[in-house]
Amino acid sequence: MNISADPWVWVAALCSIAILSSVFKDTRVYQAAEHIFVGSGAGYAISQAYRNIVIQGWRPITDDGRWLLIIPMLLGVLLYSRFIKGYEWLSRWSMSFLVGAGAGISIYGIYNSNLLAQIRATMVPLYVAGDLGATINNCILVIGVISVLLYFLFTVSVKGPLKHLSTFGRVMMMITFGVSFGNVVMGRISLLLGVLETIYGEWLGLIP
Amino acid sequence: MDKLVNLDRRIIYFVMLVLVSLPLLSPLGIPLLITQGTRDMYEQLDAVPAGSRVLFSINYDPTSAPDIAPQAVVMLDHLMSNNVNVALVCFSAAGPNLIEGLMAPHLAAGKVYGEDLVNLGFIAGGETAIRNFGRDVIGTAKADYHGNDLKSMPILDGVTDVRDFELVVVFHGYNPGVQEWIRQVQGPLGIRLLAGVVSVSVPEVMPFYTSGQLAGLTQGLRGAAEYELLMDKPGTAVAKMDAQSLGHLAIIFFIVIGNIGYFSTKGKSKANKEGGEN
Repeated sequence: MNISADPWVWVAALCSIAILSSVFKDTRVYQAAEHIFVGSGAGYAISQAYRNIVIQGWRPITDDGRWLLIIPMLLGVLLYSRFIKGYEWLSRWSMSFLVGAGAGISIYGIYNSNLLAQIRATMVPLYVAGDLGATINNCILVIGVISVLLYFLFTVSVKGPLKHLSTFGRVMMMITFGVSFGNVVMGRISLLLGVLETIYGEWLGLIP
Repeated sequence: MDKLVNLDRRIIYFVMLVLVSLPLLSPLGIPLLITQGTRDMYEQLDAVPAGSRVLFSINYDPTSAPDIAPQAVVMLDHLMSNNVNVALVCFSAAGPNLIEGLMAPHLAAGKVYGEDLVNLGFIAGGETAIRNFGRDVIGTAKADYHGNDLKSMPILDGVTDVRDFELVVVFHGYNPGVQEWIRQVQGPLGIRLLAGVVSVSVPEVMPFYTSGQLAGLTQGLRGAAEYELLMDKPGTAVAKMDAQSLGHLAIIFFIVIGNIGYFSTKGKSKANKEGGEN
């Protein structure tokens, strides 16, 4: 056992234990650690935001003379007008700009990468000569996509054999949700392991 | 059976804590299969010639770091040992200090800041920032995390857009992350993009790997462990996978006994109800 002499490792370990104490009870120690976390996180975010404004906005204007950057800077300032009674409407200009520019930038990418490329990826041969695994995978992929799309077909009543395909689509989605939940469990255990590594390894020196 | 249904949650937590702690302190060496996504990732990074440039986009924060940081650590080790230069950037405010932590052991080992590694810091703006960075690396980042001029750094000599990097690896903890990189940079510019993602995001990102939009994909802590095995340097991620496996067994066990208890008491309550009606 080789306990760390670094005070920050002690702070990290004790705060981790304080947060974990909520498993047993909502204690004052837990609340204190939670407030420290929220406060330090907010403070850090503000410092990074300030740095960004200086590097991305202020210096290019003052040092390089890029005066057009005053426009986005002003739009940014206008966002805070919602806190001034009677001038709340000014913040809508900034919001309109953000929403419009954001949508414009995203639309092409969503159609191209999320829709067209994904549709193209489902156009696969249903029989791959000499590769049974690929054949099965491709069949599952194609039938899975069609059945799930069919499940969400609300404009006409799905009857007969198509209803079975629609039910198969529901089963496929259930399997997908199960996979998602399994990954969530895996991720949460990883987070626990990270905390335990700090406590056992960095703090107590128990991990070789 | 009533006891099974009303099992004190603290017992579950305690059993879980014991089961995941033991392998951490004394690894068991449970075998681990290596997925094709991790193999692709390893082969792509291993093939990068010495002296080339690779870009790491660190899109995670301390809360998701235990699941994904081991991937970034082992891949950076791999590239540094192959004398590949790595520029690191982030699009979340918590990123710059995480990047400093990733670079620290390599700088202490003799790698030169500005030549072998650089911290491009946090660039605000989410998807828009990723788009602009992809098309104008230096013009968007403007300065490194410490405020140094990027034009004077040998690692970025001749860089205009991200196509001047051999590969781009996105480490995805939350958005903006892989999807934004695919939408704004990989699709329009046709770069080779690889991704390391947190376990939670695997189902969301997997279609992009199967479609070929991602050239490699590593999944959470497991991905880091697989990569360590491919490098033949089993480390902390491999040890943690033993704990993962025992944790999963514990959860399966509790799900099974919970269901046994539920169905037993369900039959009992049904019988009581029928008895009451008679």
